Amino acid sequence: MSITLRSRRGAIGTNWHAVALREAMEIILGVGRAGGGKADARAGKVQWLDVSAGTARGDVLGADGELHQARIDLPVLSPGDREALLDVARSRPELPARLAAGHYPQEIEGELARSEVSLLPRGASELSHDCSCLDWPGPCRHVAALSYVLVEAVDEHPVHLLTLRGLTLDDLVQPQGGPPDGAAPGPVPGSGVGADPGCDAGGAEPSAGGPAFDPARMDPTQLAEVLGPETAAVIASFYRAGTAPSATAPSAADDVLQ
Amino acid sequence: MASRRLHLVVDPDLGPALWVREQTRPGRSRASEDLAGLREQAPAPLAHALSAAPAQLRHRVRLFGPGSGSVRRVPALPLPGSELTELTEAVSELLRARFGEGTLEQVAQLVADGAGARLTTDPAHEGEELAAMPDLLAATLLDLEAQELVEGRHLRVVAVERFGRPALEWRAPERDRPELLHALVDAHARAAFAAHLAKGPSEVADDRFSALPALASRTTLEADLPSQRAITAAFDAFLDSGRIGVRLTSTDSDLVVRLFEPPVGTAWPLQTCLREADGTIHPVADLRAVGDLTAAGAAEASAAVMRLAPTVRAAAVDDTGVDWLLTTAEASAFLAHDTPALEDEGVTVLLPRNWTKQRTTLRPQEAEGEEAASAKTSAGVGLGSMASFRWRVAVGDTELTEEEMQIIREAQTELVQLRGQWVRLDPVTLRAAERFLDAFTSRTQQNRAGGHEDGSDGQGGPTHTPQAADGRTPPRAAAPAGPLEVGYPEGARPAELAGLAPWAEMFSLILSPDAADVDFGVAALTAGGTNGLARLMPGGSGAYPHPQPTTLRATLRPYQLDGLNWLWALDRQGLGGILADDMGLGKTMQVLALLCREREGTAPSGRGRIAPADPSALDVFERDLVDLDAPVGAAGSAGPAPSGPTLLVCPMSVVGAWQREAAKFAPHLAVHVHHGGDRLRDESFAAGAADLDLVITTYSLLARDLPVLSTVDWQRIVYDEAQHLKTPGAQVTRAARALQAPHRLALTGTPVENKLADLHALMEVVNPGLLGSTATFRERVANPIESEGDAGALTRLKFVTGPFILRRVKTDRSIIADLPEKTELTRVVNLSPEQAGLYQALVDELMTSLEEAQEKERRTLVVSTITRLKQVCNHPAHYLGDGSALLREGQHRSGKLELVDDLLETAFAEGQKALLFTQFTAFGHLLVPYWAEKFGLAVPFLHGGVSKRDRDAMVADFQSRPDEPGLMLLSLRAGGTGLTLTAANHVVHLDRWWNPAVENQATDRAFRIGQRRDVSVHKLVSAGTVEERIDSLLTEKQALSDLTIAPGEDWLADLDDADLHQLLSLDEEQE
Repeated sequence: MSITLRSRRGAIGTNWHAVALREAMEIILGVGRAGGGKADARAGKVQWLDVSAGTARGDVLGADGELHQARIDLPVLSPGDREALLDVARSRPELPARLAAGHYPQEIEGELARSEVSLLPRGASELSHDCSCLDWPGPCRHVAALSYVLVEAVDEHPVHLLTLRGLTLDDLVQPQGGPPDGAAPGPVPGSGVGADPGCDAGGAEPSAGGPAFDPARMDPTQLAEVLGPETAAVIASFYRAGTAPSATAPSAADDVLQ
Repeated sequence: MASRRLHLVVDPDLGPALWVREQTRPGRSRASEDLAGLREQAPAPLAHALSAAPAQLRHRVRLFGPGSGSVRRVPALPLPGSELTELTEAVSELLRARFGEGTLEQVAQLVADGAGARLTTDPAHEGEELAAMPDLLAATLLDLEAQELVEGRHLRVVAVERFGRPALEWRAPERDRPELLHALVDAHARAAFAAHLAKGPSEVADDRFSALPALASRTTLEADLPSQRAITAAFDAFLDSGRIGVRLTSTDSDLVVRLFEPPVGTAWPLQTCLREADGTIHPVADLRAVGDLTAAGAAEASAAVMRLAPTVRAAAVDDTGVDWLLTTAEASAFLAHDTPALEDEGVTVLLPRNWTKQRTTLRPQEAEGEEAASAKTSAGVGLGSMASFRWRVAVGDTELTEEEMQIIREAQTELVQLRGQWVRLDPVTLRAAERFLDAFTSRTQQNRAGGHEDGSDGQGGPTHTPQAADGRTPPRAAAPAGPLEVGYPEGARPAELAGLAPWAEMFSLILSPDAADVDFGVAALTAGGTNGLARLMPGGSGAYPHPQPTTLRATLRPYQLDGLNWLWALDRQGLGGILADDMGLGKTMQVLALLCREREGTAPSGRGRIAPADPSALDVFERDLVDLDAPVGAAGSAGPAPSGPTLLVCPMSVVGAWQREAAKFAPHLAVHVHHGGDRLRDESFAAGAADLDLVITTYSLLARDLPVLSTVDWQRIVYDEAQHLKTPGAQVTRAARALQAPHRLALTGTPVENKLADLHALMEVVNPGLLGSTATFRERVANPIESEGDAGALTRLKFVTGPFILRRVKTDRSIIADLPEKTELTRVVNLSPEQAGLYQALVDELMTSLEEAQEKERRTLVVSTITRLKQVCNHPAHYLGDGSALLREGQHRSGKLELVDDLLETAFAEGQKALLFTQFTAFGHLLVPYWAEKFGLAVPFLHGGVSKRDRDAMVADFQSRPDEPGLMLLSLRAGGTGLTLTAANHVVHLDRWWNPAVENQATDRAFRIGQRRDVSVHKLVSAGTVEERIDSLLTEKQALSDLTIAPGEDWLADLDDADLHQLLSLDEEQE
């Protein structure tokens, strides 16, 4: 499993936002590291990319044949900056769809700049990096390779920028009130990456009473694919041992609480 | 002792933890550093829950003060897993002890008020309270919910990293519940799962991530980050599958895009929708509003549309953020370019109700009135006649005004607003119509310009006629004349383009590439021309219905009368036609009726014949000629025309049939057969023919006697079984094209539409030039239709040939409702000269032998001679048994075989099968190799010598391919009973058994349950022979119910010599 870049030659990243991200990265990387990282990225050394709030991570195959855990950090927006972003976003109802379609309108970035907010790194100082290799303090070749993989991912899916900044597409649409706790971004359903440790409390799904649930209906097919059939069978039998279908989710105690 | 207040917090790093505020003295309190005091003070359950905890509180949790930035760190006891539930349950127990029945309500009220609850009731410890604060009280309530969720297994599992190592955690299904609930769920679920694991198998082979221990206890999940994501996703999917009423997502629901007409102005709303499994379609904006779809899901759906539709990407988004408002140009581009791309990707595009592409059609309006009539009289009739054509342009059912055409031309989009309604134009037919009208204009002008140089054929445009100026009217000019149409905007009338051209030129234009994709609005033709050829065009009102001729001694079936009127209408205009009715529908009868009508006119019989010299009658006739379908005045009739002879060319095998039918149904016609060695070949032929009504000759004589045939002024030439003329270069075809006559007619039972080259060849004989040269026809019409399946070219061809081909099929019950499902035909065929010679010799020999024979030998002699005679009738080679070829120099030696060959060819052309019965196995063995070679088909022969197994295989094979050409030979004895051969719908009795029961049994092999087509039964009878005589005897006797003639042939031997001679001898007149 490794990531293959679409770009075979020349600059990586074509949309303006990807170019901006790449340029910020390359300031940190420097010319030598940038070239090596680009070559490694094109050679498929990056095994996987995971984008979550504040962090992009990936395993990179080093010249020594070892896998190194590289990461690039871009700080989650502070609550104030987050509000500024949401104010702009909510005046642009088409933004979520545009981002999902792969377009980050540049004028949005312009509007954000008035509040000194950006989805992109506001200069190289906002970016930090780390790697499990011995090339300390870096940036190492592995971080450089990961950078280019991230740039190309962001090129196609600008939603990753939103994720890095601790936001989801849902946040952009949600009416006033927002998530319960500004510091806790939720998972990103659309981008193929899941929950981040400790960040699971973020409001992603509407809480208006989930659909009724019946463990007897559960289908462990996907579980079996990921965990193995026997393991999945043990888990499924645990679920089947559940009591009769519970009523709609909020319990009696919950009713009382209200 | 101090008062203590118990707090439960969830620290972002540490998780759930207990901290204790102790009041050291009134007004002074601090966070406890150890648990010793609490343990001492706590009632038993609580003390027990805390018994395992270390005394010293070494951990610190952060407390967030009311103001931002005020953070306090206090010592706390972390409560991982069971410690949390034990504490909560201990507190619950104490609360129940205190509040009893109404514990839940009381606690809930306290939590709502932000108040704590005392846990000690011991009055001895006055002032040493122990209280659970609201956060701890709330935990007891959440604990109940957590237990319920775990019991119902309504649990989510996520892979997370705790302190840098991957772990699995159980969660409540809804994400935005208090973190404490998730912690309680995790503790309960972990315990339940550990118990479950303990009961199950000890070893699970495939737990590669160590997921099971990670779920039961807090061991490490052996999974890298991508695997962790995959595990979380798998658990999410697992949980979702248990939900009743699955939540919509943008990935597993069908994406639908819906375009609406602008409610006002020109903004076209375009909506992103999802289709549920039950087919209902909901806008994603609505789904998002009611929570059935996440905002991210809605954005994804909308994004998918933008990815596939470039036009939409640039369009304005409305305030939902997922739908758009398109301009008219964008909507048009969306329809033209984006819709196909979306549909290719499985996205449904919904357009406004009933909103299909409106085709642009051209509606021909043959000009009527004086100018057209005068054009006709000056330029003659038929294909060369000049007609003034006017075209109207229609979109859908709306004929356009000049102004509207202007709008369409300028709009440059598929969408235009016509008479207050948005219309989607079909660009293909619109452009095709424009191209066609341009070509029409240039051709009509060209025609006029080249009129003098091209004058040799006399069909060039008459430049001197006054309407030529009108014809030069520039394209798309509104015709000044014409009645005002109703239903148009005031003052507006449909725009017309007019021009003058001969019909032949129009047909040529329609067949040319300029007319590709033009929709000619066929149905609209009924509103167009009402005279002449236009009436016969597809959709026209049809030939004028005259009554059937009175001199014909038969009642025409309705479709035969229609056929006669069609023949008549073509005849009056000097046009040739192809009558291609199915076998057995009476083509002969229709031609005979035509000859009758020609001689009696269309005057009502009461008025009798009007002498041609009568000027008023001539006047009527003239008008009928010019405009026959609109008979003038009360007469509505035409007098008889001075008619010359009709020449009929047919295969030798049907000469007798023609002769017979003419004698039977039109005995007043003078008929002559031009055939045989003693036929007239000098100038006397022409003189004699002039006084005749019908001269019958054969294809073989057509080329040979062309010089003598050409000397006659034929009124008409009719080619029966005209498929004999399908080879353009053949001598017979060239002869047919060389022979001149004002009227030409082809009869064939073969579906001429199937083979276009054949159609062209036939049409060249009857209407030379109509379809252009062989090469251009092949290039422009035949190849596109036959190799590319060009439906447009086929439509144009049908449009052009429509007036000239009439084909009715037996299976079409709407036309021929009165025909039985089984058609029995006795086919009378002529003997070839060779057969006739052999036949006569056999009869003579018998008569000589009989004179000398004993009575007992007589029977043998008669029966054996009759058998030989029948062999002769079948084929000379059959009788002679000399192994000679069935054809001699390409000529048939047997009238029967010639007819059967034609019959099979016709059946095969329609993909049908035939059964052929003979009583002579030897004859069958002659036929098998002959037909196998001629048709390239396997010819199964089922006779007495074939084993049962092989018979079964033959039948099964024959039945398995119902819609392919095929034939099977059967001997009457072997094949007469028991078999089912319903794949065939033609039955031929090659020779006769004289036993209707036996023959019917054989016929019923095909005509029985399972047969879906009409069955034609052909009983072959040689003209003038014993076969024909017994056949008519049987028919008559049957009619009289006289059963003195027993079935079979034995009775023949009992006849006396004179009767026998009369029965057997060859009828000389047939020669």
